[in-house]
Amino acid sequence: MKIQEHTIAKAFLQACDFVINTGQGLADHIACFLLGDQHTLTRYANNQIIQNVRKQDHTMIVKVILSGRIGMASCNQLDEQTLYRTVKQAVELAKFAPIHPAVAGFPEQEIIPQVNGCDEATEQVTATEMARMVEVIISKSASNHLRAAGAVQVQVMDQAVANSSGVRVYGRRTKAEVHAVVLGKTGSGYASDTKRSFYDLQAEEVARVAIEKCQLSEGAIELPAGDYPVILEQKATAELLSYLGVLAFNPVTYHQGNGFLSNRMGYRVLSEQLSISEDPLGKEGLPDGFDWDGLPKQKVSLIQDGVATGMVYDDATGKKYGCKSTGNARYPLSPSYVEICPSHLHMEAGKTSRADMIAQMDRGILITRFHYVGVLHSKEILLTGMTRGGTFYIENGKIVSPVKNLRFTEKISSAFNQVIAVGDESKLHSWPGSMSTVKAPDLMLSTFHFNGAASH
Amino acid sequence: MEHIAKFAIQEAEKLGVEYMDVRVSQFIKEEIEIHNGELEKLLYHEDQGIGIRVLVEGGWGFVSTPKHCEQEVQKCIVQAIELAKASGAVRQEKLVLSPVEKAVAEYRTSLKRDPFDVPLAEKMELLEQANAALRIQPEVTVAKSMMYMHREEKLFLNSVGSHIYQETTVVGAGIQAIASDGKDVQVRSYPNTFQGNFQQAGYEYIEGLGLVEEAERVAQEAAQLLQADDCPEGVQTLILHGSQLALQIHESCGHAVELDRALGEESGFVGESFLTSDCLGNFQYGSEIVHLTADATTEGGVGTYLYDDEGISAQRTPLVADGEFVGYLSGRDTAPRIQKESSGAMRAVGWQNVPIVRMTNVHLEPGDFTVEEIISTTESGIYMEGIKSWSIDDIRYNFQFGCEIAWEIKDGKRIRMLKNPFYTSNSPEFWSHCDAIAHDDWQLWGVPNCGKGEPYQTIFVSHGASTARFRQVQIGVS
Repeated sequence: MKIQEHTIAKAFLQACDFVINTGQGLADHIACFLLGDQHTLTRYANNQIIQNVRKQDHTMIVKVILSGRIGMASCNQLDEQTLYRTVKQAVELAKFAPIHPAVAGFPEQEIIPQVNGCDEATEQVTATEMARMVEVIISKSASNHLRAAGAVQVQVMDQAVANSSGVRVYGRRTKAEVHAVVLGKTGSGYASDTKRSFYDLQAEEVARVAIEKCQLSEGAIELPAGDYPVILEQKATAELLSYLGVLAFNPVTYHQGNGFLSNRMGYRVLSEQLSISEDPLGKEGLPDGFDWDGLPKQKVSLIQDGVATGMVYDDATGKKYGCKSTGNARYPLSPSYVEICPSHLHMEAGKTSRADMIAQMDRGILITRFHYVGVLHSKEILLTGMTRGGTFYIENGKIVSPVKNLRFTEKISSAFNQVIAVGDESKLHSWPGSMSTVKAPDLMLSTFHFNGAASH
Repeated sequence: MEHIAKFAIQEAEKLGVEYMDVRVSQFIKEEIEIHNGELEKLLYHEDQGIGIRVLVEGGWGFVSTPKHCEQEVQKCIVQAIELAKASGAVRQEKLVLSPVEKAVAEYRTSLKRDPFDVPLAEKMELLEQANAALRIQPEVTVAKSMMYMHREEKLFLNSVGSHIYQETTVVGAGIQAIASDGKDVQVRSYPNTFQGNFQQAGYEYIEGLGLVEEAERVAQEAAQLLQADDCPEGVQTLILHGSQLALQIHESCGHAVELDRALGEESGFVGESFLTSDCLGNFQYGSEIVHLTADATTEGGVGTYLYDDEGISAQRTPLVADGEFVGYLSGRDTAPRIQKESSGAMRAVGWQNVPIVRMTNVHLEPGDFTVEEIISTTESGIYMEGIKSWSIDDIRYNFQFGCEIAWEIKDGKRIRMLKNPFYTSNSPEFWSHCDAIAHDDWQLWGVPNCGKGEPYQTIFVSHGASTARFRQVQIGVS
């Protein structure tokens, strides 16, 4: 079935057409943005299901331009009466808004790349199937006298964008995710898997890795604060990379001179071993053909061999700073602190396996993931956070002991300049509720600063 | 609202659920933001929907939908029952609920001036004036002024016959100056970092914030920070203003006393708590002057209500008394596991989400000092204000917080401004070093972005806090 023939596609595009037709008599320009979200989530802890939810909603956002003034209104009912009222509300708001000096209408239609972001079978996953996946993890944990917690979830996102300049696009995407935190007397282990299809999730492997890490974590020793060489597993790299994405590739702070890459474009800013791109079309991720302006997404080289090569833009920032949109418009109802940034970061894999990294390390720390990372200085990308889910001390090429969780405080720009080796496989990661992804390999860094330890 | 909620209860009972509750709600909000004199956001939003929770065969199922028709509600009930059965099939222990009484009640936020009746032009003028005042300072490269208001009308019905209508109005506003000299970037915010400050009130709260009057100071401090000395590192006396102490309470106490965390139910996501159930009544959390309370009845709190989203009445729950850990935030399915009844702290964000254990308004009770007494009796120390960064481990023990601004205190006086300060400690050690709490600047700090749960829910909570002093704290510079 073609995606436009889908029942929801028809209903969404019909609602968009009604809004655009209604608004053309009331405003100079009009655009609408429709998000449909179905989220089914089975949550477990202490080896049992504790929560089982299915939520759905759709939000229609109407944005109008009237004599250089902008107004925006939104609703979650798609009947004509509500949609008409929402258009009128946006127009009324615009009448009171100050004239926006840079407002120039909405973008015109462009060719959208054809991507397949939706797995139809995943839309039909049942509560029983999700519970069975949970049981796989729970039974393996329980048989090892461990307790498991985590979630299995499926998200279906429908997105439509239309405007009075001719944009009219619809897309449907799916995301399935399983994660497990397995806990012992003192140890814990984490593993996760994110795929486009529920039926590709590797729950048994997630259970195996989380259990193994948990068992290895028992009896952790405390390491003194200081600088250590580290191996960041894929999830840990992905977490730091996501902060780099938000803080370094925000076009507004970049052009205002407040960003890490301000006045550094074209210069080497990270290790020559690192290449990073915005890769929304990659088949192995959660591919996405267009953004919230309705403009095509595209691959953008951000860092090539350590050199800053690119920035991402939406239509408005592109026009403001004399660049073309890269298809990175954010959801119009995002809070203002959610800035324009890459949505599908991809750090290219290298050639070194994790086993080889460990074998090469004289003394250092293996980190599974981080927890509660905070930004201490945005321009310098100075971050702090804790390790979690399995932290291990390496000596003479072998893991010799689990380590109590450590607090790091480190400039990521510096850390990513200390790369000894890049892992041979990039793994896909995503965060709860979000369809954005980060694909990242293991990284071996010569130094990383830890300034404290937790009690566990 | 009434009809569809009653229909849902009747249909679910026909299908033999052991218990069910339903929330039907309508939500409206308005957001305005001005950045550098230009309109960044002007939004009016409305949504409505229904959330249905059922207990069947010992498991919970929850389904929400924006559609109000009977056919959709019937479909949702069937789905919720399927989910509940799947939950019940993977349980090791029987789900026990603490009792709920039938309640019939109504609640409305007390307000003087309905924020949705205030002309938009008046709101714009206030934000434009405040924004212009920030931009007088030439080093300010980004000037932000923002305003927020929402109203939720919520009808709760359950299968024991409760009928609870609550209408909650929340307003907030703030300003922020970002100064840059090309090398460094510094930020100052007022009243606080997360879009200002928030209360359950009418527009009179926004009028009383004095955004225009405070803008000049805020902009000057942001500019002065560019030239300020770095905060000295070392173990020192720390004085925290309420704007930062609110976050400290939030992270190291508020989340730590959530019973679902303590019982391991959040371990798959945000984590557990160092305050395990064996600590209750048996653990010195802080010094004897530390009294922390969860109070869902505080007037003006953004975590204030009459009944929680399980139909349990709002309560004032001591959490830490005379420094000892004495209470948890809990719900009907967690409290019985420590032989208690629900503390009425189950909250859901909108009709879309399932209720989970949340903070209400978690306060540090006022102490015996004035702010002036705290500063004047400090020989040497660092005073910090304004939230800049926050990070705490998965059991709410080890933390590190950065602040927007600091001043060095010498011989009882502020002597110089300092930049990029942070402090780090662990929760019980930090609170055990608290030796002075002020009473004269105690106020409610509304936090709009408390995140928890899967699916992730971002909720409003309040913290009453005043200036307080902590001895021997590790202070650093970022």
